Amino acid sequence: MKISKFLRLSFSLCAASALVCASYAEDGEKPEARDAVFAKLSKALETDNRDLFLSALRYPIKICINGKYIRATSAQTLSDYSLDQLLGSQTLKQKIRSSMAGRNAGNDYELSYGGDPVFSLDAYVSESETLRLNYTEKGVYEINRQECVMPKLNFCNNPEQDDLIYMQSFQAAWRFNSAVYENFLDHNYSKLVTIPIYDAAGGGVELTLDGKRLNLVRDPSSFDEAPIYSDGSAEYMIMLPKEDGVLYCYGLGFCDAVSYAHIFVKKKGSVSCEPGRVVLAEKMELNFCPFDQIANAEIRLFTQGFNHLSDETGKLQGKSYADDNGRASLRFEPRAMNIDTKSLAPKGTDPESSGHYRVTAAELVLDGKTLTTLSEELHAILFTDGDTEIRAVLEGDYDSPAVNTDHLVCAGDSSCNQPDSRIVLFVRNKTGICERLVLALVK
Amino acid sequence: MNKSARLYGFALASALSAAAQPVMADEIDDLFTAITSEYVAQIPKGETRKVYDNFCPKNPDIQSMIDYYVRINARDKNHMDELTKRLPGEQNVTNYVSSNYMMFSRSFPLKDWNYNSIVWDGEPMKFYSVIGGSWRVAPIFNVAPDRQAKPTGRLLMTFAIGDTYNLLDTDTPLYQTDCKNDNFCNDYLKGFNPFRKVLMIVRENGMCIKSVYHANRVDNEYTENDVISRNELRLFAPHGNFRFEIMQKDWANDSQGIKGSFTYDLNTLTINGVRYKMIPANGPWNKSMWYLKGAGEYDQKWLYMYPIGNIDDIYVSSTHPKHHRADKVVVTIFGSRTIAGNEMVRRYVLYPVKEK
Repeated sequence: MKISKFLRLSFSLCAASALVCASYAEDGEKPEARDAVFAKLSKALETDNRDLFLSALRYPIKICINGKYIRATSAQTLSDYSLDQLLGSQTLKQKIRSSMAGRNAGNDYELSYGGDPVFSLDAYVSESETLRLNYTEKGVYEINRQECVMPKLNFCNNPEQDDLIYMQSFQAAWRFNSAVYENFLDHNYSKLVTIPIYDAAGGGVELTLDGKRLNLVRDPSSFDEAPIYSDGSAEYMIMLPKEDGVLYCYGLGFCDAVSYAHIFVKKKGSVSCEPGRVVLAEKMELNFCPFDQIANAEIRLFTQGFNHLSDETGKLQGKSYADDNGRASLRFEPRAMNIDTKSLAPKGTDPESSGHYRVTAAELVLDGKTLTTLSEELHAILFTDGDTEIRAVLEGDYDSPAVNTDHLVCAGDSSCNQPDSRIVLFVRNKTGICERLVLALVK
Repeated sequence: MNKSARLYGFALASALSAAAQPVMADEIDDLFTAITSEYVAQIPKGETRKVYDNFCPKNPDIQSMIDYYVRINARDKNHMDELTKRLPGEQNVTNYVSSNYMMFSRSFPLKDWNYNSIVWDGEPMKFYSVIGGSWRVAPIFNVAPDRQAKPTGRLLMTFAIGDTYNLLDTDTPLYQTDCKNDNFCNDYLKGFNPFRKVLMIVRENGMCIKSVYHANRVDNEYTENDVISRNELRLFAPHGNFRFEIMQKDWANDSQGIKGSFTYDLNTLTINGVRYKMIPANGPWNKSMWYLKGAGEYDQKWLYMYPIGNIDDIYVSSTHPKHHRADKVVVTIFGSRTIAGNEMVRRYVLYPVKEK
């Protein structure tokens, strides 16, 4: 189990079972390895020692040089610049130095970067002149400044494609984007799995393109916002842009996946990209049934809406559902699960003790076959059986009294269906064709 | 040639010309001062490309959108003055809406862009006059509080940014309602429509703010933060094809003190004893956008109405199209007279009033 998954699991466990959950980004009391980075930075700034500063960085690093971001892959790349230039200005340098004085650690920032907890140091001169250093125990990996811009990346050597890439780089959603994207329509089957920064420094991907699984290596000099991967025969720039005006995150590290991934392909030896781009749609909430947009709309309504509501795992325990003709039945039961939190938590943190956790297991019997999954996220229940995937979606009414939000109110009579009154199964085979089965609560 | 076409100019060929040469900041300031100081402004001859390349120098994210969309819209001939032709059947009624708190607007008519207006940072702004020499794909307007005022130095650029990439538009048969009496027909709603969304950018002193406006239609995103309402629309009204019909006249939500009366001739909503007439703003009689007229606090507030029914019927209707009776009507009332954020949006579900 990956850490991101574990963190989400621990959150839903918190909500369901009132367990005390560890916060992995909290300041430890013990001196930690990351304090050594802080001490090194502190000393470098006090003594105006550029080389010591460079040794506190982790490469590749995103840093601003002369108003534009670059990805520096080694200290040598930066050896032409003064400390003032590396930090933006003398004023910013002095600000960050004074803000570090008398402290021994930076502020908690994000959950983790490549499995290590992240800390940050900030300096503020004006709204347009700010500085933020993000670092882990391995060093500073990102130096952001308000007034700095992304360079225009001429990856495709085609103005239209490069303009699009540049625009999308401003909307990049690589930090918390943990998702699966697919395309069944425009090409042979393509699939992209994105790994966010808390699992892999700078993020990562697994890609199947036009039916072929690729073995990709990240170009370390490419930006996280517009990463370039290579498999020896071609380069792939993979963009994950947010849409304008849409909110994706509703808590630190808790973000919806963006709807579409865009891939630009440049064959080895070619100066320009293949025409256009390959677009893949998010699988679990947008395009689980790629040939049935009504099914997709139904899944979206009953998953996205409920995702923002309180956890109801506990309410399902002991409940059973069945369809009319005896093909499918589903039941939820409490189960004890061993979780070794120590091995999963980021290094240098002090997680809650390992041991037994009570989780809700969902057991599906479909055409005589029994499948089990942990409903760690109630509205993302997924069973897998080889190439067949089954999404179980709870379908009640949003005007139900059980849904306790301000503007979703029941009429107060029996017209409402409870959110757990029925469950719809979308059974997807390997070609993407879905079958829909309706299961009602067995009383 | 009509007036607006003449005003927009025909500099399209140069929209696709080679990248601009580096330009000094002072020169750019002078250029923008020149085009914002005149009552009827004109971009100096040969300087149009420079204006577009330097419209938002301090906001590279916005400038990158200008660069991209000017290019592809020029290629695809997505001219803003042809917007009404590109959204057929809706030219008289379609509103564009935005929930950006800086530039919210409940509507602007599409017939003549020179009569559009927006609210910017709380201040009403009229489209003052189109800047001569600006491109049809992204016309630039002087904006001012009123038409008699001197130019304010604020410029507004607008261009089509279209839908999300439409991978989801599959061959699923869609339930076709009566297109004669209905604005929502498959033929022109299927597929990618570049005018489904437009972007407006206001520039002042070199700084820009942007706002996305959605064509006010069943699949619009008028409540961007309210995933339930948005997704409910997407399920019950994919591509505008409502699968349920309001066949009963009287509806009520007793606990909220709301009564609805919906007929072809007249729709009314009674809230806390005050009766409001529903004035159609977009769409057929039993679905889509309205505003309320009545002697109460909801006077001139906007609402969106759509019927919903048994979801399982949707799957039946996709193979056996027939009218299904709505068993609920959802009414979403916007909390203010403009659509500004969704804090005040109320969603009410009305049920059929059973005959006694």
